[in-house]
Amino acid sequence: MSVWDLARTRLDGLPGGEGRNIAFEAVDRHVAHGNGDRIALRFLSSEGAARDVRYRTLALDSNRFANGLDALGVGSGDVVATLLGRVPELYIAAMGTLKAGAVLCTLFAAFGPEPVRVRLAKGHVKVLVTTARQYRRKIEPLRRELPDLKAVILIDEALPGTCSWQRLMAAASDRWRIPATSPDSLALIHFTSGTTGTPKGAVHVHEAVVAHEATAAAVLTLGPGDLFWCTADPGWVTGVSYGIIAPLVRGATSVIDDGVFEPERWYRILHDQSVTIWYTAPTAIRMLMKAGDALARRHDFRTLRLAASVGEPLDAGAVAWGEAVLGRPFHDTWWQTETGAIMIANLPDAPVCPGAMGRPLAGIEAAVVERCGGPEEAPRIEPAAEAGELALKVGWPSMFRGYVDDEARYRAVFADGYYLTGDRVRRDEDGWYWFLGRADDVIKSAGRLIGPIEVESVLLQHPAVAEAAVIGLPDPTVGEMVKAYVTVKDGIAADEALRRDILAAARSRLGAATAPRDIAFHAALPKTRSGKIMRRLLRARELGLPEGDLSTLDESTPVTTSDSTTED
Amino acid sequence: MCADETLDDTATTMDRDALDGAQASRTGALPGVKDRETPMDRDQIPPLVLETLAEVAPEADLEQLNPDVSFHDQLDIDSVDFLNFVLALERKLGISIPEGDYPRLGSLVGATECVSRLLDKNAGATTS
Repeated sequence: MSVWDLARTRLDGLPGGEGRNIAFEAVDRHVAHGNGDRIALRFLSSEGAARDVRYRTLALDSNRFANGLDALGVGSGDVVATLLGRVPELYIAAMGTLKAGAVLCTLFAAFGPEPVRVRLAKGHVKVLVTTARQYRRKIEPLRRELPDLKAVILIDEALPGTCSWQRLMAAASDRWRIPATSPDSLALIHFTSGTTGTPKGAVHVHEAVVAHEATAAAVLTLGPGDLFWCTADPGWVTGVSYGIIAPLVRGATSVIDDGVFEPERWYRILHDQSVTIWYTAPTAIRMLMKAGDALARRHDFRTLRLAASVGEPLDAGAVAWGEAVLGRPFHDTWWQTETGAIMIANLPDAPVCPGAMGRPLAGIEAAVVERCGGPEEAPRIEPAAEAGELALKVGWPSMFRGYVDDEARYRAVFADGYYLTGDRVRRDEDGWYWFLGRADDVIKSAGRLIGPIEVESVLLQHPAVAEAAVIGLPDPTVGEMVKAYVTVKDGIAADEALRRDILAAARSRLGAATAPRDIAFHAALPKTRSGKIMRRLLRARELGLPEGDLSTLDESTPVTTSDSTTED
Repeated sequence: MCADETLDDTATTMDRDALDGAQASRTGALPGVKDRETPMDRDQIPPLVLETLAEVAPEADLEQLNPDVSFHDQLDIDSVDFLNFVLALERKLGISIPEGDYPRLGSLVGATECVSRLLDKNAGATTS
């Protein structure tokens, strides 16, 4: 029996053989099994107060939300988005949406208006759940540009043109029968960034819960009685797959912290909440390391059974630090928005290979390949000698099933029965995988993928900017820092006031997390003969690295970085 | 590599200048304040804090800022911004701000008090 079939035996399926629904596996079946009194979610406020939500309450409240959606005329296949911090309403809306047969799309609350608009439009979002503050700033001014958006539900106050969460929930019954759900029904859309064009909406189906269950068991050893803390925000895929779905499916209790990162507070949470399994990220680990061992040693972490990491490569030093200071080495794991669940990991019952991504899980067939064939042909692959692109044989349950409205981009990442990840890796003789870098220009900052085009297109909207190129520069804490290089239009003085004005405009539209942290003026940017900006070359020159193949460079443009017109 | 997300709000950017500045302060050189004959006047601290904040988040409307309420609750800044703000303060003032004091720097009132205490301490150490 395959690991996936084994996981299916641990799941229930909808009563009466009506298919499989993620929310039923995550919530309702625990109530049906007599475990409704278990704590599903524990919300911590920044002041440290805890508020528990039991499985039964989550089941009833999500039934209400499903009825509320039904009353709004929302159902099968309609997309419901959230733009919320880590508040109970987000989790209720998530489960209620899936119960209604609708499709859940969580958006990162720190996005500025532009990334929000692009994702709402591209996802054909019909209902948005958010707060009054978010609505006023990011939605109301551009609502006319969002013809698909029929209803906005505000969780805190009622504004003209919106519905009140309280009124919707009060009017709704707490009984709901989940409609028959085919395992191939659409369940989730996660937006992710690519090198070209707008963000891609990766679509996942209800069957993905089989992989959430299997990986939560095999990699995270989650089960009833566990206090699990996934530090990822639910606006991103880890925060959904492992911050919402997987711990619920496994009957564990999730600790959810809505405060800002602070080393002392994080250690207190690990200790005070008796966290048993912790899933966090290299950026956080490096910031904890920076805060010093003494702070960590003031707390004890004896309940901690497993510490795991995801988001970007975890260096061997951080793994060792975990063992020395927390008493547990960090187990690195690898996966992507498109894979929906962990694919490669340092397994809990085997020694950690420090610095390696891990080895493919049972049920996952990985290969290291090179793409071949011309740009006009369907992609083909051949085995790579040593290092190459990581490819995964299709067939695992949480594999994405498409990019919204973009069949061509979907087809372009499959070849010969493999999904091509865009990550370059090396496999050693013992079968461990080592991350080498992205095969494209996508920037990875604090574990998030940032598409350079999305940032550049906002910079280009500034009236003084002629050209813009955005790259990631290595950073000891966040992995890569987003930096923009711009040229200004003729006759405009490239001074500090302008630099701040461009930065302000970019931050207002993109939000702090996506906007550049720094902007430099250049007299010209390196381009190909066809006029495409060569980010790779810009980055190499910025870092003093070999410049590689320059056969397409347009030599007629000045390209040195020393002609920067500002101090840098 | 890996899943494209992670924690919401966790990060810092190392600013080379800021690190150099902090380093210099530890070795006794005090860029920014070394030429002052008298310690910085307490009245000068809030404008300096606001100017530093404006460098990191130039879009912020700082005239509306409530000095008692945390920056996080009033401005769209994340922890990378906050760390850049702290490092820039260190560089400008020529002081080293201990990690344990970071939470105190989260509002204008808090930052003013914390900075003034650190400057006093520094001045004491220099004169003794």
